[in-house]
Amino acid sequence: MAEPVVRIEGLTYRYRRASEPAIRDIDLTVEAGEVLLVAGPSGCGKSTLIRAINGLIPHAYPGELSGSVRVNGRLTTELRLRDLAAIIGTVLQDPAKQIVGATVEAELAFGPENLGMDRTEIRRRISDVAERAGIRNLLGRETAALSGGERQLLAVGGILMLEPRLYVVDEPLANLDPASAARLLGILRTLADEGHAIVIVEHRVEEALDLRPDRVLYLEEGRTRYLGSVSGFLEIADPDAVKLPFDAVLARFRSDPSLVGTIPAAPGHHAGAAPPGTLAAPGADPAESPRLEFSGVRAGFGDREVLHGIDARLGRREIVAVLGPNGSGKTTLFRTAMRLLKLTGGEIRVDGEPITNRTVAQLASTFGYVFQSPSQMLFARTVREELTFGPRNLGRDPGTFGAIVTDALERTSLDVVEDILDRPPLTLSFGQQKRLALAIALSLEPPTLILDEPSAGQDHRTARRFMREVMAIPGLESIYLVTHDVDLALTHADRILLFREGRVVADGPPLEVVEDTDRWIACNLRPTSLIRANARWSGLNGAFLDAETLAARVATGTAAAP
Amino acid sequence: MNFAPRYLGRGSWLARRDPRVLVIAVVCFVLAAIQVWDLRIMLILDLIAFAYYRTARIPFRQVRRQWMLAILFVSLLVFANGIIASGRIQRLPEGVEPHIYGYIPLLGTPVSAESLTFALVQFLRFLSLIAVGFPIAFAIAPDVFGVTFARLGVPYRFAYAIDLTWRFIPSLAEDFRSTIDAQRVRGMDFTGQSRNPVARVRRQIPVLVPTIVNAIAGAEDTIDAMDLRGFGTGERTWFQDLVLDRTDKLVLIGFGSLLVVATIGGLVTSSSVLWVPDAILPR
Repeated sequence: MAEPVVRIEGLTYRYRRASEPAIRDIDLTVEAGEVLLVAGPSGCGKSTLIRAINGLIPHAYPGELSGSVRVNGRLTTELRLRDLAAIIGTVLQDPAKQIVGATVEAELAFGPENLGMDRTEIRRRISDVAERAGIRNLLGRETAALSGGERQLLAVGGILMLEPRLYVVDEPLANLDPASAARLLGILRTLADEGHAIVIVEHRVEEALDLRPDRVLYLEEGRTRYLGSVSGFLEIADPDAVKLPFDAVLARFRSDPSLVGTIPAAPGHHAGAAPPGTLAAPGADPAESPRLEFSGVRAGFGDREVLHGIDARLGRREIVAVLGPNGSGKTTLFRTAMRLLKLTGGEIRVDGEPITNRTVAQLASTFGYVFQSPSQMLFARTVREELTFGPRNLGRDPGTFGAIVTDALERTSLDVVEDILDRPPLTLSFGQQKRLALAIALSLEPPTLILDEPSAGQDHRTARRFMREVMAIPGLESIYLVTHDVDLALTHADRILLFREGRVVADGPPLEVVEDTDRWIACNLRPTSLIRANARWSGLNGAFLDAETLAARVATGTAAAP
Repeated sequence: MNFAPRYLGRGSWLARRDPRVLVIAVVCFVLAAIQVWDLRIMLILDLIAFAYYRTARIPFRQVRRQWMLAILFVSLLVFANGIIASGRIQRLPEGVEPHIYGYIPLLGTPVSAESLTFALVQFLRFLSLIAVGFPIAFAIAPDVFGVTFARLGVPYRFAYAIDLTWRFIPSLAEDFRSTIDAQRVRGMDFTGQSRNPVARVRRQIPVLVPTIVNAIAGAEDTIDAMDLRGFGTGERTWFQDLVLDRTDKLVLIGFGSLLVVATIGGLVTSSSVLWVPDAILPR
């Protein structure tokens, strides 16, 4: 029998400054032509496992290692990174950090150049890879000008150039719209069919299943919780921890009726069990003047127009999600409304008043803007300083700071963290930093929140918990969110604005917007299993339910008939 | 968002040259210019420098700010040099005494025909150096910086660091701009800056800290990505092929000749001595 591409035996690894091992007692083999899906919540050891396979551990990350990792039959400890690079291709999670070439060709050539490959051979491979990865149209372009999806494909192209036996891909779907994700998975599937081994780390399991993995490794707290077939995994996986296809969730609810009673209070406020607060009884009142009104809005970056005449009204008491492909203008819409980008045409009104009458700071009192990455804003020595920064800028009475800080922490459940006020913000976990970013926005006491990619960088469980907490914040009137996460948008929003190439192509309740499948797909969006399930069981007049709520209703026979 | 390095001279005659020519031209020109103190010859060098600059076809409105900053910096430098030198003038012909117009109040620094000419030559020299140097930034394709310096004998790790700089300056600018936006929506006002430099730096902390922290955190991923593709582990090839064509060679001969002429001229003529126009001497 041929030697597996990867053979891991009894692997335990502890980082030099850590007190506990990041992974323990891992045994694993990956055969040629096999696709292994590695899943698990944040911090479960996925990244460490990847580093152990590709040789960064121990070559670049010193620590305590026991057990062995063999690639092509040879111990990684005995191979140089140069040798490993010719066998294993790794695509990191954030392509913006992985891409080192200033142009597409330079990026593709980088690996072969490092291995001393002949120039003619590099040219030949660039041509092949451009075709194979579907990036021929990108040749000649500067990498800084590429979209997130294009960068991800280029990052994969850079690895294809080395023609490795094994591809290790770390959360490739995190920054991609569904259509770009499907394209990437197609490339990986083809590689597997050609006999290459693929290790893909992804917590968006439903989408990763399109890759038709042969086996799943599920990690929890650094240990193997499950290693086996996909069907076996779907039977044991926790739907709260990883995003599963709806049929798998339903099967779990049918086989275990006790799960019905474990559904969280309100993953979506439509679900009928919403928390108390203004958001608990939302819905746009047509007679009420909108909070935010766009009339023929045009805006962009320099000479490049991104928004081509947007008309939209966002209500004072509603949750609106903006969906669309990468680069379609979703974030630009709200940045323009906050006067962070220049309006080049049309008008934007806030509570009936043109935004030009207000400064960015004044707009921040109406809209709490939560950026995608909390690290973009955290700078202070303590959480207390961080939370008083905004009110101080707006000239609020320092005597009220104590109350503002307490209120913001309570509304985001950060008050339960020990010594939170004196903690340096950057020592908090990523999830806590996300909540701190939310608290910072709330410290300006805005009635409306704008969330830019609220689920980015979080696993399924923490993203859901974050959204639950946001929906439960008392005193909020409205939430506007921009996201790639289709199901998150559909289950939380009253209304969907569907964007494509800087224009609104649909505007309506979730079930109505997803009804036109052709339009949905044309916007690079994925018809998820949850969409199909909602269409089947809820009917068009119903609300769009999250997987657990709908599964519970179907399992108990309370869902609308198909 | 496009923050790509500005390859503004794309397609121009100079951008079509082997990029090594642009680097060597600057070296030759600098070595030639620093030997010249005759105002008339410096004017000729400026003409050459700006003629060369024009061949890069860099749209002025897109570099206006850089030119303004450069001219401001050079003016300050020349002025400060005049003050610090207290009116002492280098490269005066032997036996010539400065023709003093008067003295700067409080400082007492003499202002003479010679010191003004000296300052003017310095100013013109710096201007010519900027004109010859700008095309390196704006007329070399961003993906050939590394190979250019590597082919000029710079070790490839350093040469690639230049490539990386060009690659990550736009990303850093993007992060910087995002952080500014993130702080603006927290009510931070970037207008009405204090004149106190310390206060100005302190006010930038909310922007600088996140930008720097993110850059350091991101660098780890970049280093991993480079390691994983075998960077720095052995002999390296360069995909870009640089070949000097006939025109490149002629340009190099031209700048090389300029250096030779300036060097020989400095030895056998008065080109390295300050020349003061009669017209500005006090009667």
